[in-house]
Amino acid sequence: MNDDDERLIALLQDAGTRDRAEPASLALSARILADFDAALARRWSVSRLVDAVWPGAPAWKPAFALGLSLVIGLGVGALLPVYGAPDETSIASDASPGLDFGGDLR
Amino acid sequence: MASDPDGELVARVGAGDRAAARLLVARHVDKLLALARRMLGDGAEAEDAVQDTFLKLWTHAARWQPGGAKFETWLFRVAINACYDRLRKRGTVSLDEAPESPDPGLSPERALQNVELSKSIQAALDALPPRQRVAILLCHYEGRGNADAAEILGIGVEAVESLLSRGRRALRASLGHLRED
Repeated sequence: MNDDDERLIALLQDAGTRDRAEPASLALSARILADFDAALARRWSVSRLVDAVWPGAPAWKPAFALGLSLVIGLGVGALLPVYGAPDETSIASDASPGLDFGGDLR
Repeated sequence: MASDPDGELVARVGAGDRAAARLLVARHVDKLLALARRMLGDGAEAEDAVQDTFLKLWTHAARWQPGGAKFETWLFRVAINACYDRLRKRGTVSLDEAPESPDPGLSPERALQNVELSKSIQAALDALPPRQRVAILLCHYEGRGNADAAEILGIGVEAVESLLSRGRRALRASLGHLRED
């Protein structure tokens, strides 16, 4: 390293020292800690849900069980024939049913 | 290997300890913000990058494994990646490509004043390709060793030395008007 490099590095070190002496705003610290609170609240709500579904199990177990049941359900739904579908040979009638009571209703 | 000075705090953060979170923020936020400001040249964007960095910490702290990388190394790596993401979103530069040259119009008299000096340094840094810029910032501005910077950047020490050498050459050219005759 030559003299120019050393002068340059001294310049950068001085700039770094000056910059770091300027503290982050309180607003930024507050935003960061608000993110911490939100992340914590999310984590607790997920862990409560997991605990309700499968007490004491690590989070991946209920998630895996849920995913597996979803895959099985979708597979069964897609592959099995549909029972109770409308009979295609039946004839739908658009005509209104006859209401001839054979006389004057008055 | 020396124990990680932040290890215990990170474990407490992982367990949901707000006081530990506040201490970690107080310990690292100024350094990260100074680096992000110099990386991005924009105070508001730098604050967003630092906020994103800590958000990543809050979501990963519970899974933090002591004995791996030093926490501060990990934190700086996350912050630098957050800065890279923002530079990419600007859509003007790739990480290895230099943007346009800095404004050479500053007179030596004005540049010697502190604020102007800072602006000159920022302009010169902005003109560097981001990888050279971050290597210069970690080693010469933050005062980290080359091995430490290599670990943060995930590259070899020789690669850091090469980035530093090219970066210094470009900075010497950009800041030549500050040199004493």
